[in-house]
Amino acid sequence: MLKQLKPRQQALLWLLSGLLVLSLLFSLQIGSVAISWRELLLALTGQAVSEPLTQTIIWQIRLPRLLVAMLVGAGLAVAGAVLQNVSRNPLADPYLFGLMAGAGLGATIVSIVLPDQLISMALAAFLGALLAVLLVFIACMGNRLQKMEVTLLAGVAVSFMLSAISSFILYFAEPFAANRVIFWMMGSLSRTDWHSVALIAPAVMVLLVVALAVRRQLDALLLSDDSARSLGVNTQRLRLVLLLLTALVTACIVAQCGGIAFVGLMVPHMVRYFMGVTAVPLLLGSALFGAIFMMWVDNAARSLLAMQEIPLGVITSVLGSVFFLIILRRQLQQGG
Amino acid sequence: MRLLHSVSQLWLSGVILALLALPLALPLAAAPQRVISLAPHITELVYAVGAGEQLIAVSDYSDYPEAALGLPRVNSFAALNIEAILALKPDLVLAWRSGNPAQDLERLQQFGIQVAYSDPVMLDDIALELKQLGALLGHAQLGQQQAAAFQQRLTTLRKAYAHKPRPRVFYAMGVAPLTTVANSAWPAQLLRECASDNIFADAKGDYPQPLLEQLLVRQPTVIIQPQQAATAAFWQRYPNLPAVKNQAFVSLNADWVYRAGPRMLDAMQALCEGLEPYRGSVDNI
Repeated sequence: MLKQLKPRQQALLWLLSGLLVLSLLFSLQIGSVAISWRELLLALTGQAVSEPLTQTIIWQIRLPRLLVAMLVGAGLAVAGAVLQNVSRNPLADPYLFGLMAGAGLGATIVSIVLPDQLISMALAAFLGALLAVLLVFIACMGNRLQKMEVTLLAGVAVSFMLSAISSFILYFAEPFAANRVIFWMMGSLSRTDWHSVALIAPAVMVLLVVALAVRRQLDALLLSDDSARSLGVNTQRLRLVLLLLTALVTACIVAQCGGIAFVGLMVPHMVRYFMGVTAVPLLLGSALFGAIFMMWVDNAARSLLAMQEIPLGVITSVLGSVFFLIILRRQLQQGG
Repeated sequence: MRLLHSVSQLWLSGVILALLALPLALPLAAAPQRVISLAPHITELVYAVGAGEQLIAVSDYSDYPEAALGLPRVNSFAALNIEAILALKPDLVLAWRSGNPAQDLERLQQFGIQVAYSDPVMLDDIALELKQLGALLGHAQLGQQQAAAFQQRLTTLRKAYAHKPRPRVFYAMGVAPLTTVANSAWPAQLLRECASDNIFADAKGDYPQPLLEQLLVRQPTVIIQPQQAATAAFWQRYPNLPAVKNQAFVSLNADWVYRAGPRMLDAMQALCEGLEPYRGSVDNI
């Protein structure tokens, strides 16, 4: 698979892999407790450290959090890349299906309406996200996902509907609970642990493996539906499977980390610019670059303010919305 | 030999003395000495029971008493900085059940940190909290004294105002959007304690956002605001409200009225006294 890549693409992938490892090491050192490089390396290699707390901070707090950041970045970027190629719509994004609004509704209901600890916030958010996907699919059943614009618009409508319900519940909520739900929706990795790694990792891996397995079909779909069908691709089934899979991965991510918008939109576009549009370099590049990007966004989130965290979604949305407008502008110019 | 004998005697008496002193010293030794407070009202309560010295870190907005300003901050309402808390090695974390995120506290406990909760809901709970915190932090006596003083002052205030004529009041928590208090919100409790009728007592939720029209229809005779800040221009638009016509405004210190600490009674006293001029038959003015 890698051998078919051009030398330039291969070099870029190696470069990204190197950057990923370096970023991980650097990020492990960033935090509100100062840990020296020597201590960090000792703790990582499992040797005795003068301060047992260092072990706990590295292994139980920073490492799982960074792994989740990598998985979230990779997962969202790959989901975005797949959706954009499958729909041939450069503005497709894993959140455009109303997933975030659905997850938000789930989180709102579980933390405000239901009694404490009945089901976890993550599970509720996951169920809410699935509800949103279900509604979008029901709405689009007639057109068999041929027209992605319809799917995207249905996603927008479902988003508004579910967030209206959330807002209504939040209106009557006790202010602290309401604030916390709103903060949750802005996205954060502060509550992630090994448990989250175990939940997100398989989903992201399955998506990446499946997407790579159907790389030829994905590339055929880039031309047009007719050309893909003439090459023997079952376009409807391919689309349905990939849409469901990306929705599932995004739901897992949202359930653990709240809303981290625009990563899925932005990263694949940047990767396309350097690596081209074909599936293999795009998917691998998106996974690596998404992981690196998310790690640094999280580093910024936890170190820009002393002792406090900026919600991740705020940072990604600021970067993403500007980027979104630039893409729109370019499309307009190309179209005109 | 003699010397040895007297030395051992001395030593023995020392041991006996130490053993005798042990029961006295034990409760002190057992009280947590590295305490973190995760809410402003808890910080105030801890200082009130004389355990301020045991605090090693506090929450955002823990700005009273002044001594608390010098301590590191380890949480906001949205999240705890778990890494910073672990690094400080607290032997007790005092959390606010309805104000701190439950998942973060669970995580702290998983790391073996002891967490005790504070969750005052009604005015009388504050006295209870003083007593419990005092006992927990090794200042049982002062805690009890503070609790008794609080209860006493509360009872005196209640007695003084319970049967006074009741003005119709609007509590302007904010004007953009218009926000007020009802049910079990702290200011709503104070309004009841000070014998006044909250015009939105029937609203749903603790911090409802009433319609402006309803405010105009319900004709409050007094308007209570946490700060007298920039709301003057807003109220001048409604000169026909009795409260505006008579300039019947009472302002309260927001830190007193929203924090379940000992200063809540300062808020209550300020409110009750502030309402005094308007208790007569204001409608006839």
